[in-house]
Amino acid sequence: MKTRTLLFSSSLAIWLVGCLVLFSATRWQGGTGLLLRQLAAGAVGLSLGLALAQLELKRLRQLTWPLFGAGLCSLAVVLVAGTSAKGAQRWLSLGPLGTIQPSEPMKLLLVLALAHLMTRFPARRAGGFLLAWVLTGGAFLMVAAQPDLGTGLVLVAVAFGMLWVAGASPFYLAGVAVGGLGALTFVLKEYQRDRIMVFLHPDLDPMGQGYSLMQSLTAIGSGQLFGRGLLAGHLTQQGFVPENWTDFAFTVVGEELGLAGSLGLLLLCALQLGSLLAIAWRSQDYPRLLATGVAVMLGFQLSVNLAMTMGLAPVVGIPLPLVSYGGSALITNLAALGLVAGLARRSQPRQAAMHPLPLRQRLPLAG
Amino acid sequence: MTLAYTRRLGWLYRCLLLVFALLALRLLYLQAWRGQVLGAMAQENVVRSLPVPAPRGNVYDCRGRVLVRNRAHLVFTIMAASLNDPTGTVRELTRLAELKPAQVRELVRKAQAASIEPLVVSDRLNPRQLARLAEAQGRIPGSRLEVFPIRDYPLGSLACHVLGQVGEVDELTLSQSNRKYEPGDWVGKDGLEASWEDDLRGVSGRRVVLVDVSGRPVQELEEITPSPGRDLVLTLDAELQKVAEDSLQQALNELRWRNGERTGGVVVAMEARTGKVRAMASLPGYDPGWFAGGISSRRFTLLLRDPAAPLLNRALSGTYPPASTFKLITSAAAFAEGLIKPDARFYCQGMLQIGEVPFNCFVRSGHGWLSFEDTLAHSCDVAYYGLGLKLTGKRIGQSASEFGLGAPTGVDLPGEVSGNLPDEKWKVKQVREKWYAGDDANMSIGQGFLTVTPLQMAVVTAAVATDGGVVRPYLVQQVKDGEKTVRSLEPQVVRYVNAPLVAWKRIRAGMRGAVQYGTSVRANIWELEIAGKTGTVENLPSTDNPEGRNHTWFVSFAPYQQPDLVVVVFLEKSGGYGGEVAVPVARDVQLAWHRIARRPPGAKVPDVKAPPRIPQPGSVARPGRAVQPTWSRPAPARPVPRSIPSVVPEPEPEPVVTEPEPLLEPTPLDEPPVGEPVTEPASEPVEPEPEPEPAPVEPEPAPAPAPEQP
Repeated sequence: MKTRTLLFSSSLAIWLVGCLVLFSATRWQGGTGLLLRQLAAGAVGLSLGLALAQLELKRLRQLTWPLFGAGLCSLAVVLVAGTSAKGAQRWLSLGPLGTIQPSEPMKLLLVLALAHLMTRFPARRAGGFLLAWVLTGGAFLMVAAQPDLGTGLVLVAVAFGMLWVAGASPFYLAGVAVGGLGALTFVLKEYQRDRIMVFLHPDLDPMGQGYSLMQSLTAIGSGQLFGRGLLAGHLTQQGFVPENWTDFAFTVVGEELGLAGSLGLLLLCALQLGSLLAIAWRSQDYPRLLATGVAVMLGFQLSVNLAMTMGLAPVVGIPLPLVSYGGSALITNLAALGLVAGLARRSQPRQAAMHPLPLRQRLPLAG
Repeated sequence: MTLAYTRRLGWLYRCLLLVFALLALRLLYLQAWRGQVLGAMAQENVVRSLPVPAPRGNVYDCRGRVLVRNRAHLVFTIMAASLNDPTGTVRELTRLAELKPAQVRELVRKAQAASIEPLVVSDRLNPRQLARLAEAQGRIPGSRLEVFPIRDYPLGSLACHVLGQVGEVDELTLSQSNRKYEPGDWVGKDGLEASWEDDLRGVSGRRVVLVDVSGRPVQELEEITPSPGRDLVLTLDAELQKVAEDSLQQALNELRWRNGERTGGVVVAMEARTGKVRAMASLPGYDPGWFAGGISSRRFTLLLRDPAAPLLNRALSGTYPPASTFKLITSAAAFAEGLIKPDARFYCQGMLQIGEVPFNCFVRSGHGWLSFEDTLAHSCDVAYYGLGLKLTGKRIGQSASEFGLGAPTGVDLPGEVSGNLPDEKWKVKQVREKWYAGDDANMSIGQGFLTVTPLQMAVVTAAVATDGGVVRPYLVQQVKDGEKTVRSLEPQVVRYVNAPLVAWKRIRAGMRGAVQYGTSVRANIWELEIAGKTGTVENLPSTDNPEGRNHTWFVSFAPYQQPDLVVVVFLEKSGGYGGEVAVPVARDVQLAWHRIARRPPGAKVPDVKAPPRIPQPGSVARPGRAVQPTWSRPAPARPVPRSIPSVVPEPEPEPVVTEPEPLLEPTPLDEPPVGEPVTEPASEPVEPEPEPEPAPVEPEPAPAPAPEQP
């Protein structure tokens, strides 16, 4: 099977699972409104992805700076005139069209900008390294000021992954990591610190902060091997797990589809990320950095989200890509996937010539 | 890019693999390893098992009239834990339910505690509040309008002390009940409700429901219907009970008029041969309905503090000296010891010198020569002092305990006391004095340290009426589960009192004599041969009884030839003598039973009307609405024997009716209506039968047989 096809079909399958989850999680509230909006956003994202797949890379590079600039501007507007919800100012109102969350496209824009930058200014040099962090830092600060630490962390992770692959010095990267963690302890807000405390001691406060986590673990665990069946999970259907259509979407899969369904979703995600990395593997320079960036962006969100719902990481607001409800995120993710699929199409002949072995053997399974 | 950086892509790939492996392992742990535990936890979260209270069993009288049943009671509750803004919601609800500020504060405090238990917002709802709250139920999550069965008393306060009340289970019972009860359960607190609790309560059901996160039931998974409690069929006859209470109430009203004090009284009517309690009235009473939906602590305190003790069942929890009624026992003991020969004569000179102390007869001038029967009929004390000295207190005490004094009768009601049967040991220990000959004399006429309950006296009288058979009085004759009889309770003769047969005959003859020519001639009616014995407890003034008014007794049985019903009347602090006020009450009850018992078997069971409502404690008695509408109005159409014109003229109604507020102002005392009855009863026995009353029959029942016969 062509890598591109694998990428496309696994992504589509994940998205379908996402729609089922959304339907199941919002049914007890008696509305399909969220599902319809998610489907509409999916259509938009799909067409945007197809368009990006057709776009010439040269064109893309030309558009990079204006788009990145526009992204930063929209983040600035959010800080000034955004819509607030749950103590954070993250959304821009578009009137009748609903709202958008500019921090989501910023993830993809950062990938584009970093890839563009790193091919001009090599990251293994201090200058390129610094420039990359200036861009990332700018975007991070504007997102973190909303405050949206989760998305900010995704941006930082993307930068780390791309710099690593672009050949930045491990010492520099380690230095940034240590410095960043140190700075973070000062920046963390009260509720964020609480979340970490709750992660470390989940039984401290079972009705308050620990509540989400306890309910999440209970829901996933109660699915047991084959789940309670779609639309039949008690905790899901009666609204016991908070936010189970966004950040805790995986609990629906866990409870209603059981271990079989969860591992299946995990496998789909692995296939998707694997094919992204495979495309990166056989591309060069700019396309490789793009593919790597998208892979890190999706992989980091996926890992952190699943780890969080399973109690392996503190609760941070990072959605599950293609599954969690959220139009902006869905459009961004589908666009990013379309972009990488386009790369695969373009790089195919050359890569085939360079690597006569089938895909499996080409991937460094054994190091 | 160089190959080195391609390798870095490989590291990224391996990192990803590692993360996925970790996640998969975690999934295995959560879902396969701990799946059962977490599944159970989830079940606990979403499934609630709510108790459904079982309706308690009904209580019927011996003719199938309903005494206690259940009715639907609406309660509005809310799950405080499910509220976003408990305080605000509670405030809104309390506005809808029109609660008082103090109740609101209490509710808000509970709501903030955010307990899992549902919070009772209101349980007394009028239709308007009901409509508003029913509408709010849909709007406010976690709120519920629930229906509970609660106790209903169609006959109001009738037989309240027998029936008892229910209340929410208290902490102590809960901790001792060995998981039999749950918090919020209702249990019997007093009377039959308490003593037959295990049969009455039934088994509460369960409703297993699926709840959403706000605790609102969304789906019913399982319902175990409660099984209602068993029904009780009593030996009590509501009709007789009504007559007893009415008659007693009237007597008490007259006493209140005369004494300016609310006092208590008891009527016990029991079948002599079987111990079936046909009526047990203790007044003042209360309305058990006040307790049915939960009584406020203020009201309960008022009831407890009432000096007339309306909650006390005097029939078995009140102890009083038996006075002259005890002479029945002394006589039986004397016969058993052979002290009374067939032709024995007694001489009464008005007093007996024992040691230094003169012991008076209650007729100071003395009775002269008396036969044994006459000593009972005229209640001559001196004759009994003599018997007492010969018998000694020890022998009398032995006989008394054979009759069942000094021990509970074993009636199936809670709170029964033993009374006090003193002996030498007891006196030395409690009074720190030795037993004097005077104590023998005192004991022989039932004064001194001896105390009994009216129910015990009923048993004593029944023993006399049935040649010595001591029965166990009982109230529940059948326990029924629907139509099926689960248990039938049989009469039980505990023991026989040791005395020759002639003793019983002669004692009964003496009691009949008392009615015919002795102390209790007011019971002398042509329709029924009543036999009885009066008693007058002489009291010294005390804080409780500043005037030192006498208690009065009358124990009776009828018909004389074939004793059927024993009626004991006791009046607390009544003043006067036993023959005066107590006797007419017993006569009314005996007569009523005589008519009830003579009804043909298939006759229609007449309905019994509830007695007038007792005003709730704490509600202000306004002059316009008299508290007990009849108490100040002396019997308007009283049947004949009570109004023997020459002896006790009835107080005239006029001054009373115009007097609006007799409750607080005992003004009537200052000018007693007519005559002073207290001083004159001694003349009563002297007088022979007054002119034969032409119609001692009550106006209502008399014409009843008439239409059938012609």
